Amino acid sequence: MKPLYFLVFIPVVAFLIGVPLANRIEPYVLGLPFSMFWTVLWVILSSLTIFILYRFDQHDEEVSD
Amino acid sequence: MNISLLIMIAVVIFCMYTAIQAGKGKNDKLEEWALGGRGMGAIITFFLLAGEFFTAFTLTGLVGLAYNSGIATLYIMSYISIACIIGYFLLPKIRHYSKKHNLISQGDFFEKKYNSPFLGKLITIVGAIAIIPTLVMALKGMGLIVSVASYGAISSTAAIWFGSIIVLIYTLISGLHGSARVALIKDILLFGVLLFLGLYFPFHYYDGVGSMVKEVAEVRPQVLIFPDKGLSLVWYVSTVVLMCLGLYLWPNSFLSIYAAKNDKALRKNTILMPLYSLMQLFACLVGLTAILAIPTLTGAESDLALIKLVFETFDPWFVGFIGAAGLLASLVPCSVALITIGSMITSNIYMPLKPDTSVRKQMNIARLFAIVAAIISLYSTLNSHGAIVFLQLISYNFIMQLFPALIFSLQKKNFVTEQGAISGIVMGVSLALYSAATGTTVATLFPDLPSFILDINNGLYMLIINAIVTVVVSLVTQKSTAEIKSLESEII
Repeated sequence: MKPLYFLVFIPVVAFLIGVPLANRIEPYVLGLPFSMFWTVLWVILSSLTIFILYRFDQHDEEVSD
Repeated sequence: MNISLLIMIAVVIFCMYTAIQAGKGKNDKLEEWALGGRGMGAIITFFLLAGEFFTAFTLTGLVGLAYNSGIATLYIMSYISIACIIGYFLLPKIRHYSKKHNLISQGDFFEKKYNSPFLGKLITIVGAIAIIPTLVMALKGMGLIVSVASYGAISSTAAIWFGSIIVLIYTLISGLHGSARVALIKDILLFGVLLFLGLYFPFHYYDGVGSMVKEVAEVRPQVLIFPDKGLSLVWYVSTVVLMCLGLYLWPNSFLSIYAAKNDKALRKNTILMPLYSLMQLFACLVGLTAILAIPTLTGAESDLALIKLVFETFDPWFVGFIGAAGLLASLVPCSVALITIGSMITSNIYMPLKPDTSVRKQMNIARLFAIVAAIISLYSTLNSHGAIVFLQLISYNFIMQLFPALIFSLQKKNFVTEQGAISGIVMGVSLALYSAATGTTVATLFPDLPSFILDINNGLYMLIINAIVTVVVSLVTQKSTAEIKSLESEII
């Protein structure tokens, strides 16, 4: 497995372990309770993570197309 | 005839027209009708998949869930995000294999991977049983939205009839080309409506999102965090884990993946889809505003929170656009589901019986099965009885059972045998059936366990048992096949 691929564990952990830890109302961020802000933040960062993979990954299988 | 009904009719006629235009002169074989000739770019594939993930449920059930349980709604965008991370690796693999072997249906994929026509048929039947209830739910949701948004000018039954006929006509004529075109219009409308309402309501009724949320925190703080019981953190984590594995397992998702032009199209898809799922945050904000603005909704009424709030705030013409968004958000998944059922039954059940069917005739047979599926769905929607409610309960658990066989089949060295894959799926499906038929859950079997165990999504147990059966049976049968082979070679 390429080292780059380990990046994907960050958002997974942020949801599955992070959300239980972030389960509180205060502090409010951007008007949202912290629990909701945390989830929304990681939805956005998941997109970013996949974008980073897409940008730096070698798509070798594309060649065989 | 009122203005909102007129707007809905105008939008539907416009969509039907563009859908038929999109497929004009293109459909001469099954690969073209069902898969758009495998030439769909990133944007079209995106809207096809988005059309399946974000249905009319976003306007009804999801807002209802936000009204009753607030933050629990965010579980969907959480599992979509993780599913997209998995999809980044998974989808290109599926597409490659399908292109290489000219696969049409999901059943074909498993049939080829495990070299087992029986497995292909099993997958097809499980898939069809799982899709029909989703069709019925989409039609029901559409009937509700259209009849409410027309201020009762058209009954729910009439709306369901018209909707089914329209979707059937353009699907038969244009196939996936047509679905893709309507999906595009639907998503612009649905996303636009939700984004607008999710921001407008908090600003209209309060000074903005922040003060609306603070108000909710005063009145019902329990909806802003996960509770200790019920839709608790354990429920959230177990459901997200389960659902993120299942997002791309549907036969209709396979269809959209096969239809993609290249890997890039699918990868770009997985980048955008989490961002797009943020649409549900706005559905959640509408639900939270409704808690304060119309606090008296109970039970099934809460699914109408969005539309009731719109009634109180906007003119009828705007209500018409909400109705149109709900209408299209039901037609798109219906259309793709009909194509999926038609093509998979043709490819995995009809073709093995009559292998010398011409490509043109294959397409027409698929259209015929699509009509049959539409009639069954229409009948079940209008004559709702226990069976369909029962099937709705199990459809996701049915589809989940394909996961172990799929993942193992993508490994370079797959030790899972045909028998292993079949036993695992049969085991998982039987458990899902048994659990739904008898109401048996871990909670009824072991009521004394602490609630953090009882809140675990039961589908997860079924999936784990399925995976264990798959592995064990594979190890056993692998050995026996190896023995047979060595015996054979000794004899020779």
